[in-house]
Amino acid sequence: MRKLLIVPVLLFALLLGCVKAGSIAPGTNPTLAKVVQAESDVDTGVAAALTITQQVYAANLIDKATASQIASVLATVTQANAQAIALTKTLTTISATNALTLQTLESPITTALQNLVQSGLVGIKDAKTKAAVTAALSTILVTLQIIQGVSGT
Amino acid sequence: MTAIVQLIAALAPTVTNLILHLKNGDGSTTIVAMLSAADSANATNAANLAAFQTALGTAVPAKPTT
Repeated sequence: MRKLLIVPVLLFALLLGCVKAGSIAPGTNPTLAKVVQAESDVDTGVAAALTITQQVYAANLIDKATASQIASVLATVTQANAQAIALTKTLTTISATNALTLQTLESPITTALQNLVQSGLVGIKDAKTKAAVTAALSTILVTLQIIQGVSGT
Repeated sequence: MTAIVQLIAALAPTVTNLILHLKNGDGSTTIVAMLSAADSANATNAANLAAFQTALGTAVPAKPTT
């Protein structure tokens, strides 16, 4: 019985040692990898925020003006992220100039998101709805701040 | 016997990862693959947002790209 167990246990240990699901290829510039990961996370955050916005709008928990305001900011974030991705595609490292370009790209949308989170959601009366939308938008904000915080090498 | 069945069940996800690992060579994700996925996800978001804005009646014409 013990011998029968050893084979799968050894196989499991072997697999744990060699499989790195989601890891980035060795030799990749770490700053570039950080930016690409953040750009991917922005996509995830926007998709989540859009889903929540659509759900609470459909449930009449937010009005059309608020939904439009959120959608507009998310669209702006998406446009800027497309530009950031396009720029990143051309890079193998992040230079100081590249970092500045990314910061310039992300700065206005970070401000727009901050304004939306801090004062633009006053139209949402339901506390739980407000908390959910705020959390979704704040997640994107944190990710954008990661890109803005990148310094070139 | 039960222990073996439990172990096999526990191993199933890892075996799936192993198959992916073998398929992708070194098992890691390249920047190119990540960027491609991010690009695709971003385009999906843009389309979904445009559809939502259209449904809201607040769609704005797309700006011409330079």
